[in-house]
Amino acid sequence: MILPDLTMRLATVATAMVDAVQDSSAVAYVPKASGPPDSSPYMWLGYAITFAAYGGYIVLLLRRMARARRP
Amino acid sequence: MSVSSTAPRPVALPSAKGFDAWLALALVACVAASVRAIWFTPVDAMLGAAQKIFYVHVPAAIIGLYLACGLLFVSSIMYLWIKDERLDRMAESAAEVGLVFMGIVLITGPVWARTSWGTWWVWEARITSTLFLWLLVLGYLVLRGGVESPENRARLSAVMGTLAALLVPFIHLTVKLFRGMHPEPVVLAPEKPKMPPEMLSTFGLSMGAFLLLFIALLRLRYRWAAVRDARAALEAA
Repeated sequence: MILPDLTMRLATVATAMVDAVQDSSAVAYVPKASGPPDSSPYMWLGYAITFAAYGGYIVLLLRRMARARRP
Repeated sequence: MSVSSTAPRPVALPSAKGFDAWLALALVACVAASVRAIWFTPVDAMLGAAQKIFYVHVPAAIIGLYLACGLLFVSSIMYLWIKDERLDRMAESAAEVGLVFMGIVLITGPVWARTSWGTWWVWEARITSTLFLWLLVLGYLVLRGGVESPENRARLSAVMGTLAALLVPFIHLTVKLFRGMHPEPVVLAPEKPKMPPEMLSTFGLSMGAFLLLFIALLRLRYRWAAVRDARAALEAA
């Protein structure tokens, strides 16, 4: 009675070990399931547009002012 | 020697300083606020780094829509009542600087939407009505350029400026009245701001910096309009 029981347990453990070896041999790393994708290029684009727009308008105003002061 | 009272008075050009301390201070503040937002403020867990567009998008929206258009409205109404050319100049300056701020809202919004909604543009009530307001303010400035007589120009543009600014309360209510994708107010939420303190403090700094920039640009634009009008008066004399 004891021997078949032990055999069954050993078989179950062996199957689990083979599964684990097969899983880890398929891929080295597994990506994280959650978390946002990298969206930093959009952040940089947003800030670049903002500063280009404000900077451009300041240049326009300063040029207008310089032209208005010219005799 | 007597001088006739009907003779045109000599007009002097007002002082026309370009770059000044206000503008320098505002630029330093804007760069400092952006450095803090990009490198020293936590990244949002859901939207990632693109959420940091919030720190330029929302101040531009609050200043462009509420402050600049509010100023346009008050100056235009007051001009129709008092007929003081300084009010007309203030309305014109607020409209132009506000157009720049609203333009930034309309461009940075789609950049942010591309990452969070998966599309650049949605024809929903908040976004579409903001675009209409931008076009109305642009029309206001085009109208000013198309009328020769200074009195007619000031009167007609004051009427148009008043009507355009009336769209702002409607835009404010669109997120409540219509079902759309644009989120409800985060900072000006009815109960309390829906942000963690470290993000809220960055937003406060950003808001202060861009407010300084608005004041600096408004001063510069107003001074230029004063010099332009004085020069026109000198040439007419």
